[in-house]
Amino acid sequence: MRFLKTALITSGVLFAVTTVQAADLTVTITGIENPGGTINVGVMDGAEGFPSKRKALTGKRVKAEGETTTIVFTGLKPGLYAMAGWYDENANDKFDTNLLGMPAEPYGFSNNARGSFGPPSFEDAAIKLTEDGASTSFQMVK
Amino acid sequence: MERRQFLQSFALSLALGTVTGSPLLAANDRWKDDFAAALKQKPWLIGYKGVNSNFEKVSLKVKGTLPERLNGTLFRNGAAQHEVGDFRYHHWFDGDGMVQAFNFNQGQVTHEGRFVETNKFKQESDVDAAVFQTFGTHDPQLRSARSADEVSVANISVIKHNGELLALWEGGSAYRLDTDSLETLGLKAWTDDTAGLPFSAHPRVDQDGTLWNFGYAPAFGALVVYRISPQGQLVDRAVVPMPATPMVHDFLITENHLVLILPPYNFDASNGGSFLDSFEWQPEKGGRALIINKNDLSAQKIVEIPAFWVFHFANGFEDSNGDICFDAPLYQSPDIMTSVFTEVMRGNEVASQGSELMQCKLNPLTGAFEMNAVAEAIGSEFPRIDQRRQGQRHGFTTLMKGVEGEAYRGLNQVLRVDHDNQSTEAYAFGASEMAEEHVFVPDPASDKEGQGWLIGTSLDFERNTSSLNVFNAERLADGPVAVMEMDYVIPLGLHGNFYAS
Repeated sequence: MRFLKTALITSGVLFAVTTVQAADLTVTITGIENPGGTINVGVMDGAEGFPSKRKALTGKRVKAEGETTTIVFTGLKPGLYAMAGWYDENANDKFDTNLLGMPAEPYGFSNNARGSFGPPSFEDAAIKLTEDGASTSFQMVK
Repeated sequence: MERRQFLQSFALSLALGTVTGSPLLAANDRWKDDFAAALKQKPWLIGYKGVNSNFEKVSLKVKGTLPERLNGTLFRNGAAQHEVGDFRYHHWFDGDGMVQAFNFNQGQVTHEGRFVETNKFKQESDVDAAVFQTFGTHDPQLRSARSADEVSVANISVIKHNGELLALWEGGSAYRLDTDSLETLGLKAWTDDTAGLPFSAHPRVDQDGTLWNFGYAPAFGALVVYRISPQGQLVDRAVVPMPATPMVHDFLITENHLVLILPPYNFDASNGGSFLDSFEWQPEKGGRALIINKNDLSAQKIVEIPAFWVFHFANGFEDSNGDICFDAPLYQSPDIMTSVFTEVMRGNEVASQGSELMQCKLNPLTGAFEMNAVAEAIGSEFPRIDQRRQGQRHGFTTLMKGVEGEAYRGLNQVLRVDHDNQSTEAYAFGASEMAEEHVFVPDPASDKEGQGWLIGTSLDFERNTSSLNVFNAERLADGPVAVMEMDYVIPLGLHGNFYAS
């Protein structure tokens, strides 16, 4: 999950270049069956390489306190954003997979978008962020 | 695993569903109505109608004489719920799996059937509507799968290993069932790193009790091979890269090898449609056999063989020259699966070439391949042997045989092929009967191959009854020695196994 790790590193830098036109993207993560692990969410602002080969614009990593957890990304420019997230259920700092690389921990995309023989498209997962901000939710499913 | 490979795999694994964005079909989907109309004209379709509720346990009346030493349970699995809400699936293999248990106990016989409560079954039951794309049904209004386990119908076979009853599919994990109540207990994970991997429906039990299995993962261009101890522990496994993306339904074990026949029936997601639609028959590419050393799963060899389609093998063994011998009903193409088992779901008959039972010999070094047809077994399926001969030279194979060219009408003969004497013996069911797989049950008082009984089910579409039949395996032509008739129809199913008590 390079895109999520990269997101974590770059997010701090990106806050520094926040412009006057800034809005908040609020996302509620649902479907956490075993709280106590870590929710990881990356925000992406374009289709190229989405999701696994694109650097996240920003990202957050928060402890899951219950079945739902709300995360706010502040200071984003109005525009289209898609989120990808995974839940580090056993808090081992890695996205566990089976031998073939199939996810062994819950994950999800904004709009609860699903792909076909692959991840969803950026367009299917995209949320429109206006100057007034946006709120959305998506589910983490194994 | 390399990171690049991992990312690629992750991307591929996020969903196993079907391509979306095709013209909407659901609004005009008439399959349920078409089938209902056809059923009025063609009573044999009753076997494909399906049910929506479990069969509660009942005692069956025994006609004839049950062998005293026949005690245990025949478990069978098969697609049983073909309609969810107003939606009828477009392929026989799509229906939700139901496990049937026929218990023989001191002359008393009971039957019960219970749906495997898969994730898909539960989610769709909650809303009384089809929710997910399936193996052979493409409808853009249905949801693509995030993983195989999300959409498993657990409908192909059922085994008991180390006392654990497992309902098997082939796309993902097995489901664990309670041996007595048939209640679903959950997904079977052999280990953390094999959880969610494909686990096929035709595992084979070796002479020492080892359970061998494989799973094909065409989106990954790989096969997974499993070695499970008699105590139910995964003791070895391997991911085998494939030279192509074939559909592989069954395999063979011999004394020294695992043998996987890789038909040129390859997956390409860009073909669109359902999972099944994504496979393309490419006979010009030829077939392949993958031969793996049982004691070193990394020792793998691929040899080129002729192109054919195959569902099931009877058995494989190595002869004194080291050649790999096996017998199986082989097909010139998979059209029985792509057309016959699709069209029957809306009540249409489609002619199909059917199978030929071939006795095959493969030289694992040169790839030299010979095959000889058993003429009497044309149009047969569901090959079985005396399991005590698994992986060793076997003297006979039993099969179910259909009406030539009319695969849609099901199977109406049970046949025993004697390989040593090159002879066959058969029993023909009545004209209104459709017979299902019959399995060999050894007589516990004999260790001679083939001494025992052949047990299986059939349905009578004129009487709307199903029957459980017991044959003396050495005297098939005499007809069943005992028949237990039910006053209801069990949907035509797939595979089962008998476990003595």
